[in-house]
Amino acid sequence: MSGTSQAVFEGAVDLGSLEFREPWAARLFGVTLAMSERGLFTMKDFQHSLIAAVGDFEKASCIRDEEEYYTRWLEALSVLLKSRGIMKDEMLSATEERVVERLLGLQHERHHHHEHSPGRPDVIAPLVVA
Amino acid sequence: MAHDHHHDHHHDGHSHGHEELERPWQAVRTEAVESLLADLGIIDPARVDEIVRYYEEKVGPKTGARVVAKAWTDPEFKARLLANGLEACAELGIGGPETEYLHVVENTPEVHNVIVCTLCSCYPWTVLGLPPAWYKSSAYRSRMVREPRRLLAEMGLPLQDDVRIQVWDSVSEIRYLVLPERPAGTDGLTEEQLIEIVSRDSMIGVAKLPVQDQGSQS
Repeated sequence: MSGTSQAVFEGAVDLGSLEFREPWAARLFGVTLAMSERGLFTMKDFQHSLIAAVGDFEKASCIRDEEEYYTRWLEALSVLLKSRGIMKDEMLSATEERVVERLLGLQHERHHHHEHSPGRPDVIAPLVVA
Repeated sequence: MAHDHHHDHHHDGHSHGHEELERPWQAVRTEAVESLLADLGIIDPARVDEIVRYYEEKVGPKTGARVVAKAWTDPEFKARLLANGLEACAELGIGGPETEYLHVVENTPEVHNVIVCTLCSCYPWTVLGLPPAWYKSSAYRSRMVREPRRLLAEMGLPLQDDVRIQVWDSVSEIRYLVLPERPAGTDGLTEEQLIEIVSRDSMIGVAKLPVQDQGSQS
């Protein structure tokens, strides 16, 4: 019996609803589909990139939750954008710096009603029923 | 759980040195990508909004449930559905650009079908919405292939040994949808009522639909 797999499975969360648990994952998903609509790549191209990212990750680890999964998605999209010459590392880094500055500014403003929880809500249901 | 899922990911050596930022690096990266692509005129953020809203609100297991309920109540539709899933769904106004083929597999007392994507997480989005988290987990994707009977039993679906299990791997352009067995006790239900009893998991093939008490829908 694969005790590790079993433990991993108990750690998997169920969405319950279809909302994205991580807001960034929703944007990522939307950006990917929007790009394929514009013909910058096909979903099949993206799928190949995703398979590679998932495969690389799973050489040494396991996907256990939404964050780990959509992180692979983000890697796959980044690789595709770079390989198509759409986005260069320097452009991305510079933009990320601007995003960080902006977010820190927002964070500062919002300081009074600081509701953000870095953890997941407590609606995680174990899928496996013994 | 032994693992802390919220540990910092040391990814690609991209550390921003902004420890105080309350967003994960993935959020920063995603926003940067979107902003870059918008600046380049490649995508329209309003369109991204629409896509996200569509998948969060408009498409979901209820969409697939409509297909299943229709197949249960209309034998001719069912025949068309099994012959060409995409065309039959299009009759109901269901479909989308992401699906190239939709192959509907029918459960019977002798054969149980279940879907998986071994290499990534392909899923019939257009009929079931977004996949549940466990569908994307390494554990599900590997174990459903290696030991489906055992995994199904663990997921609450013990099957008799004489039931053949067919595991469909969605790695190519083909997406699968399981047509679950219509449960007993549903003869008197209308199509609308049937829609309500079809669960997402039954259309993935990791659950069966329970026998219904006539006149009750619990």
